[in-house]
Parts: sequence; C-alpha cells; structure tokens
Amino acid sequence: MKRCLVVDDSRIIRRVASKIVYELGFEPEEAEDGKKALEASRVHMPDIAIVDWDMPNMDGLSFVQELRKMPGGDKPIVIFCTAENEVHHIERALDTGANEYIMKPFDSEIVRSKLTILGALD
Amino acid sequence: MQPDDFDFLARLLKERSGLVLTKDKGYLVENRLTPVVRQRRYKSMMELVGALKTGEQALAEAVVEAMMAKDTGFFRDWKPFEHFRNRVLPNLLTARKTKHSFRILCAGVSTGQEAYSLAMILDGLGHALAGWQAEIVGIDLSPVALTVATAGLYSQFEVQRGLPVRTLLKHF
Repeated sequence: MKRCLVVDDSRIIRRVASKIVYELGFEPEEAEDGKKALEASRVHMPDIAIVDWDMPNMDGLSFVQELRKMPGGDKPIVIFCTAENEVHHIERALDTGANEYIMKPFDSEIVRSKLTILGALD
Repeated sequence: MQPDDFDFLARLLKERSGLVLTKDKGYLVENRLTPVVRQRRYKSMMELVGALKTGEQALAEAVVEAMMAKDTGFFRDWKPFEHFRNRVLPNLLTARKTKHSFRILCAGVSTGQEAYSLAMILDGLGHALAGWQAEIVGIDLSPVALTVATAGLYSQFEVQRGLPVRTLLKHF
C-alpha cells in the first residue's frame, strides 16, 4: 500500500485528508508541522505528501525544500493543500518542488483528480 | 408516483431529449424533479405531472432541464483526453494536412469544461497549429448549461477538479 503523509497543523484537516486518501487506497500518516513531517520522512519516505503552507515550527515550503534534499526525497509526489491562493504562492510552491497545488476548501473529488493527473492512482 | 404518470414522464423525456427513463429510475425522478415541484409550488409530483399533461411548454422545458445529467469537469476522466492528445489529434492532423482545418463537435457539452479542455490541448501545440483553422463546437439541450459554457467562468472547486495547476495558471 502506498503511503501518504498528510502535513497540516489542523487536526480536522489532517483527519479529513487522511480519510480521503485512505479511501483512494493509500495508507495515511499524519504530521502536525514541517519538522515532524521531516522526521517521519527520515523513518519512512512517503510516496505522496499533502502539505499545508502555514504551520508552526517549520512551514510547508521549508519542509519541501528539506525533503527534496534528502536521499530519495526527489521521489515523493508533493501536493500543497493550503488557503494561500494567490498566483505568486502557487508559483513559489512549484518552484520549491511541489508537483501540484490544492486551494482550500477542498473535497475528495479534487484530491482524486490531482492524484489522477499525477498518475498516482492505480 | 402512479405508473401512468411515470410513463407520461418517460415519453416526454424520450421525445424531447432522447433520455430513456426505465422503471428502476424512479429515484432519479424524485431526486431531480422534487426541486422543480418546490420551486413551482406544486403540492406533489402528481400535481406537477398533471400540469405537464395540460401541455405547459415552459414547465416541460424545466423538467427536461432538471432531468439532464450535468456531470462534467476539466479533462474529465483524464485518460480520454490523453488519448485525444496522443493518438486522435496526431492522426487528425495527418488526415487534414492538405485542408489545414478541422472541427470538433462536443455533443452534450454541458457547462463547457470538456470543450475548453480540448481547446487547451490544441493551444499546447503552439506553432504546430500555425496556419490551421480549428473549431470546437459545443451543443447541449440545456440553455442554462450553455449560458455557463459561453461565459467560461468557473468556481475554485470547478477549476481544481481536473485542471493541472500549471494549466490553471496558464489559462485563467
């Protein structure tokens, strides 16, 4: 089962996103900030990471930058999932190494379509 | 709903839209026509069908409109559009290389996302289509859906369902 790391400081968002990816066939793992997400990635590199932007301790951008430097860190598909919805935010996320971008609020169809686009659904 | 009323509705939909309503689709009628019953302040579905039987044209149009499936999305189901991009389009360009023109018909275009998806694919060809005349024609029974399609304005939810973010940035 492919693993999906859900990184968000909101417990509710983590829970909702985890449920969505579980129903799409992924094993979800949750982290409440970028630091914890990096620790989780060191133990077990995820196949997909769904990442919030603004979080305490380490934000989403810094997490993705660090993740991409790690051995095997170029492999995970990274999808930002954030309330930041200006063009410059999206461009910055893509420049940092994100593969896709979801603007909150989101639903299961949006997550499904992004994963389909990225070829992550079997 | 009385069997006679159901049969009347089924005939009306078949004649006006080609939609085949089989008897196991009673739930679909309830789901889609209950809002029409409420909006037009009928007391029941039976009363709505009774009004339809008197030949109210505007009501018949509203019923057909409500019964039409409007499921659509940008690059809906993804793979058919990949197939269009990778197989159909190259073959089409080869077949029309002397005419340098082609038309694509989107039958049942609904609110337009699939037609715009095709346009985005064509746009992606850039100079390869220079000098070509390409036309995408969308048709639909629903005037409401066509109004949305013509306006080309979509919600944040709609653009995120199916559009890769780079494509979103490029075209919106």
